[in-house]
Amino acid sequence: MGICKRAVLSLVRKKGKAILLFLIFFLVSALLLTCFSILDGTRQAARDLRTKIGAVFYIRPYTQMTMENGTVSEGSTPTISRQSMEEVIAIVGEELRAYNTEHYGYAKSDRLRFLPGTGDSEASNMGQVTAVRYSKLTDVFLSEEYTLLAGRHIEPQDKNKILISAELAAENDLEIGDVIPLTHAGLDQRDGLYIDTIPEKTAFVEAEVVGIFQCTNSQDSPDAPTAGKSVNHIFSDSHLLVNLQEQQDGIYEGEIAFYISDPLELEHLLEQVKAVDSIDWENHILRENDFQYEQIAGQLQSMQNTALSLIVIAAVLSMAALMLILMIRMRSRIHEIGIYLSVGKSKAEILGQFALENWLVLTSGFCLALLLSVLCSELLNQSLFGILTEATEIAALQTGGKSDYLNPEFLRSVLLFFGESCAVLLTVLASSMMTLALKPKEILTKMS
Amino acid sequence: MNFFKRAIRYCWRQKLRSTLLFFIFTLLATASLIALSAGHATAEETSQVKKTVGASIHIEIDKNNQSNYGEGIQNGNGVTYQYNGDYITQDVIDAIAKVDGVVNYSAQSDGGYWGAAMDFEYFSGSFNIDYTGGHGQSVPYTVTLNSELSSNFLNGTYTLEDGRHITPEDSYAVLISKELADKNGRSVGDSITMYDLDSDSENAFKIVGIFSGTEGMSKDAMMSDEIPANQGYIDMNSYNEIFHRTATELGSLDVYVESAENVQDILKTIQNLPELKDKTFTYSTDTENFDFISNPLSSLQTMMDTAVLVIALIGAALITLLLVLWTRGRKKEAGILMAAGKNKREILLQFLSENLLISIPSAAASWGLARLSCSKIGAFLVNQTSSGMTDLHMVIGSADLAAVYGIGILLLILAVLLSATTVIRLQPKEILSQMD
Amino acid sequence: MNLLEFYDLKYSYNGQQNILRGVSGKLEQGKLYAILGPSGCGKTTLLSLLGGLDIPTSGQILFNGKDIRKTGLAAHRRNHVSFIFQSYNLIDYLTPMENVALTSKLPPLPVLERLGLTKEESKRNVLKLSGGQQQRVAIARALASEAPVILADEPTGNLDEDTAWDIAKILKESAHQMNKCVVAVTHSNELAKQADLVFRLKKGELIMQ
Repeated sequence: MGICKRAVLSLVRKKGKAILLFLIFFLVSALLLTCFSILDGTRQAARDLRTKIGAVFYIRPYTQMTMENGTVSEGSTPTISRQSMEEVIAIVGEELRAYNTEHYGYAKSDRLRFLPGTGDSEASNMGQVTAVRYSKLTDVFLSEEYTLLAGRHIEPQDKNKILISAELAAENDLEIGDVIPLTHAGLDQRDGLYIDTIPEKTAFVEAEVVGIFQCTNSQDSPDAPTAGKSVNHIFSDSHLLVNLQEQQDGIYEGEIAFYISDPLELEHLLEQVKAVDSIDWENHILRENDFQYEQIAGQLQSMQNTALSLIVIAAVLSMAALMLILMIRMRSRIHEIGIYLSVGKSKAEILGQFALENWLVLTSGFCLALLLSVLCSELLNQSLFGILTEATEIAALQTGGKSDYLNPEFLRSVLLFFGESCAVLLTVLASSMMTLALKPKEILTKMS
Repeated sequence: MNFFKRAIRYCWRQKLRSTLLFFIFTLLATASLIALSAGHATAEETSQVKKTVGASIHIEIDKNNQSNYGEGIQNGNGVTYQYNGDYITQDVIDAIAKVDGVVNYSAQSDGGYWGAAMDFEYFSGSFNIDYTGGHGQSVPYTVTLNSELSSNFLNGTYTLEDGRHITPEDSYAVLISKELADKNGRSVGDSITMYDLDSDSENAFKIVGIFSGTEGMSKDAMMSDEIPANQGYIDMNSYNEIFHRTATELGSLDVYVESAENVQDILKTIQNLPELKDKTFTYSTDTENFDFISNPLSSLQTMMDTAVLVIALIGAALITLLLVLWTRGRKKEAGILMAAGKNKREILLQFLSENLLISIPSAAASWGLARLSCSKIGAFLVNQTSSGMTDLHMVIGSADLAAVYGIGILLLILAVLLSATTVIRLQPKEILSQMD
Repeated sequence: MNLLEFYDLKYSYNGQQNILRGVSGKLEQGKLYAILGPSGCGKTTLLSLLGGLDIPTSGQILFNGKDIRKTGLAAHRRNHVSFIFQSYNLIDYLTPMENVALTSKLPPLPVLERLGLTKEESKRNVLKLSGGQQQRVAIARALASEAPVILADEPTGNLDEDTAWDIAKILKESAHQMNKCVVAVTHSNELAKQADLVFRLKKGELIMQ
């Protein structure tokens, strides 16, 4: 009779013991599987949390003043080209949630009467234009200095769309969807008077009003010219300024903001961005903002570490308990070992049978645990975590986060099973060896 | 020989068994204790995060309502209207500060003070108009009770580089940008003097802090007042003094609450305060930051709770199974004892006292072990996390101890009773005949 | 031809007592030997030494003329001897047939049937058999092995007189018919009566009767 058959018979005929052992293996396996899924889950949740908060870095034009003969002279406005931007985008890669560009100009229109500021005249009745990819990601909207009242924001695919203030819309009877002609303009001051630097109009654009905003908290200087008043501010896409010949296609004057998903990646990304040669770093600065993440970084990290410690401890202790229980069980089989030895079975054969028995029980216990954990993780994911709601502006830009927090991965399960098998076999081996190391006579004395 | 003596002898003679059982009891109790305290620690951390992120209620005077403005007054610049509604007064602030769940408040008036540089220079814009009569262009300052709670600092646009923030106690304190400080060679502790047109006064402010974040933010500024690097923060007390205000009259107040979860309740409480009722204020809440993280955060918490629960449950199940296994292995002994005329109660008591005898030292050991590991974990966690960690509460609470040991002993008794009854309900003859 | 010889075996336990003080003897195939003696006189020790379960303090044991310590105690246990115990020592999760099959490749049923177990009994749970039946299974297991020496330690110790008589007879028949060398240590007179040769172990010395 082979050891396999004996192992099976031992399990089948001693059902009570086998079932208890099975339950123990099942419980420990379930514990380990749950623990490791949870560990994984906390990692994902933490990443998710970090991603929700996100981080941003800006490449800002920052002209270095040069002193020449005591007078400060400023060079031409520093710009960033689309090519440099694309290099940065490539570096940021999958972490990129959105990026925003800014470029500035002025616009006038026959159809528009801008609200007059200091020294308003026919020539200086113009509005300031900020051309962006996303208007909602501009400082004034993010800090809620401005709020969108109606319509929608400017988006990257827009062409010749504009956002105007409620006051300007009211002054000119404009509504969302209205199309108005715009022409280029430039503001300067001569002899205390504001003038238009582009008196000859050659560029014209039909712009559609897509949104109306309100300037809630902005502080205008009492002496601001017409174009300096917040209510005359126009947001547009870059096409508009390009069409008005106030912007070179693919060249940006203003800051470029890169919104990234995981704040932990920020530092690493910044280092690579700094190495982009095509950006004029003499006249640009990098500024990062992961302040909100930093505030909770400590706690978040410590939560993750707490989870890690807990799970490591639970895993180690449960394995230890498992091994101890097995040892007790093996000790109660001294009698059997004695009999097998006395009928001439070799130690290897006895060991083999015991190891096989335990391994078989372990396998079935583990399989049940795995099955249950797969089923439960789906249930848990549905009931506990639900569908993550995308909350606000920046979060809405990202692609939906993975909500499957708990999912026993195949490889991990295999590793766990391997680990458990090793522990079980080792324990069987160790505890049987203790018995087998005794003299046969001692075993037989202990038997009776 | 009574059952207790037999129990002691059994434990003593079966040293290896006793030791193994001792270790298992200890391990499982330790695991449960650590799990519980880790659960508490995460719960605390979660609420810390919630507090850190927080939420706020913004109270503002209702400037958009035309009925709050009186008749226009003609002046050199055209017609100006004066807001004649309610302002946020000290009474209002004090009442709000007393509301449960309110942790902090700040008021600020954006551009509440316009100062022209007397003994320093601003960055100049494209157009410069001197309307202060020889003092140069004025630049708006944010008048704040608490500059730390100013939105630019809260969202990380600005970072305090040197010195400290403005607090409600400050008087004639100013925060200026690093750019401005560098341009003028000023540092924390130095003073700047400004001229204010409205009050026609010159005032010296002490620089208490310097912030960064204005670099490259000038954008398309036309005048120097639009350049962020020029704009700073001053305290509320000096502002009141400069404008000869005996009472605080604020345009807005930001109230920070402990947790975003109950912001609506707090808002309701605040709105119904007698000091605020029926005043021309508008209210809004900001829980945006909290909303971002609330989902993953509660997932984290749920997962930790699940882990703790699973560990505790499985620990309990393991103990029970083990004891069942253990007691069932002593069928023969029970048979012999019964044959020797011991009654069932005595046998049960013997089995119970054996296990209890072992559980007492293991309770002590697990307490020590859990305390040791918790302090180690605590140290590890503080080590691992660089910032923002003040104190980590990985401690074994007495409630946890009571729960673990109480439930542990209950389980132990139940398990022994359960498995022993399956043995001793048999007749001695049956047991002995089953003996091998 | 002597199958098992032992010369001047001495054995002391923990270096204090002399349990065996130089015992010698020669055992042949086809015979049932009984070693009698009071409890604690060293009967079981002698049996353990003969079975290679323990090593004598001094003295020599030969199997087929070869020193068992030279051929190896494990090999000796495996190939030359099989044991029968007072407490039967059956594997409780195996049936009588399976227990017998542990030592033999031959079909176990004929052996069991010859020892008086029915086919139905041979497939039962061993714990459900009576003591005599269990001991028969143990004997069957010993007989079925190819080992020429059977060492029995109080094989009838747990049995009533009638059953003990049956078992003694079985042992004798086995020795004679199957040409085994059966050594039984016992204090049962029934068994001694069946034995071809009876030794008495007294104060550590072996006396032939």
